[in-house]
Amino acid sequence: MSDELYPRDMLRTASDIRFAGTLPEAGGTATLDNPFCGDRVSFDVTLEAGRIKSLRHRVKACVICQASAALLAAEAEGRTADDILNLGDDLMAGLKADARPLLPGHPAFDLFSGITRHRARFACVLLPFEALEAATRDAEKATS
Amino acid sequence: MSGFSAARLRAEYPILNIETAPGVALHYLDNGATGQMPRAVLDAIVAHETTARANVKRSVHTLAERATNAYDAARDTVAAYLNVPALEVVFTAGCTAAINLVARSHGDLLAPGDAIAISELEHHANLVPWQMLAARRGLDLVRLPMTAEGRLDLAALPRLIDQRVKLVAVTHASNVTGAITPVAEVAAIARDAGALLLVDGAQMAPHGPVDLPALGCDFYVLSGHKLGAPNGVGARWGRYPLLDAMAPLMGGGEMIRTVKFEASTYARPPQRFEAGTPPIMPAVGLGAACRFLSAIDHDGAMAHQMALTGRLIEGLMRIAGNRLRLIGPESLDDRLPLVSFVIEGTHPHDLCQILDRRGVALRGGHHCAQVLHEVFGVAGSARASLAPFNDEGDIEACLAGIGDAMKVLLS
Repeated sequence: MSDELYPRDMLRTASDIRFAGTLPEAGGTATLDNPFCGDRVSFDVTLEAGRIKSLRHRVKACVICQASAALLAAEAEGRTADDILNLGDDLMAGLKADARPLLPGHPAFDLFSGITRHRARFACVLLPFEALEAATRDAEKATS
Repeated sequence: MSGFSAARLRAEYPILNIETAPGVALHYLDNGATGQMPRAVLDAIVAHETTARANVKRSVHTLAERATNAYDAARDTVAAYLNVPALEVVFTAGCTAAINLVARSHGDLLAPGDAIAISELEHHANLVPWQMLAARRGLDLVRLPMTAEGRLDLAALPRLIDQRVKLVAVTHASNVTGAITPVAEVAAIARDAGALLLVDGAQMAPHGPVDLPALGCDFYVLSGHKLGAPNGVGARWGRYPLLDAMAPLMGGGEMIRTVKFEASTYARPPQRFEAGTPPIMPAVGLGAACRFLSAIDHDGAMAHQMALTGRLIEGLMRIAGNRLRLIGPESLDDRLPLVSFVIEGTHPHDLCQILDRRGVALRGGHHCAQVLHEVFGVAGSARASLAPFNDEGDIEACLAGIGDAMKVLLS
């Protein structure tokens, strides 16, 4: 049964494991917790000319966070840490404003449209953005 | 509300209908100590406590979501009141807590030999935390003087705020003299010296929205109860990079990122500085107070209050004559509607006690500004501090009460 908050596509996206796992050759890595519930997201990344070349994630989190990590991973290649930061900020603004699309240029994130009335869950959507940004900055630091 | 009407505004404050004794109406002229609460704030508090009382950011049930939304919306409203991003607004227990937070967390970034410049006009909340910091970190305190009429002496600042000074702390408006500080000019002087500027907005913020980007300061603090919100909440604004460089003052829930047994990492601002369950209902009340105050015609309200202030000063001069000493400017320019005074031969507390018989609420004492009173050469003063809802009846009652007091105390 589909649900406003948990549409069938979200469950499908959350089970997308194409980018799950570790990168043995990772140039940067970061693990962040959702401070409110303890959910945990880790990202490993490699960079090429300051941009994400490859990545893998490990997500011990709710369905919403899993889906967000999967969507972000699929759209992250070629982006910088600042790009990821800006994407997260834009998505936060979209969630607060109940905008359509939630994230301009990235219609896939409308998957989270049902969350806009549930402010406590915004952190679930945004945790992967913060973790990926941190991992990318870690990789930047290693190459600088 | 468009077009200012004190009578219409008075109707919004239930407490103004009370009698302090049978047949004695309240004339509240102690707004500088605590602002009264309009019905809109009372309603917002009751609505929150009866439909949304829960902890924030934790549970996902309906009440918790309502509480989280209300708390976040309150931050958005306070941010809009100050014309700054919400991420830069930290809820605190009040102004004192907000200044102590900066003194502790930013103060830890200062090095022995650095200096902090503070004016003689300051409330103890904007002096004592810096004294404590100076003692803790081996810093010097630089005293910024005021003029004879109780305004910050701008001409003295370029000489005193030198390269050693890393932070300047001044009030936006004195709680004793009522003088409004030209903050943008102080900010320019501080910036030239490479110093940051903290502004205490406790007295100014209740008089309407504050355009912080136009002021050019780096930190700004305000006190909720002075805006007509509940006690126990205030706000500290700081530029985000400054907040991000600061360590938290208190540790606990809500302010963490990851906790392990040996050590923890911290959340980003503003959560980094909001350990534990925050003052949820008071913050909701503060948001409602900001909305209420934003809707007032402030030009009209200030013109009304300045007319009353002028009437009060003229009346004091008429009644007390040579015994009167104003602790602050006589002019109505660049000041708040606040008048502190001494009547020779009377003690401020005795004066205020007799005023209370007529339902007139004034404050007497040093108003937590002992240094300022020392410079003026008096131990304390009586203070009438106005709000937009005050009217001619309040001023006439005050002047009549002062006449009473002089008869009793000077006969």
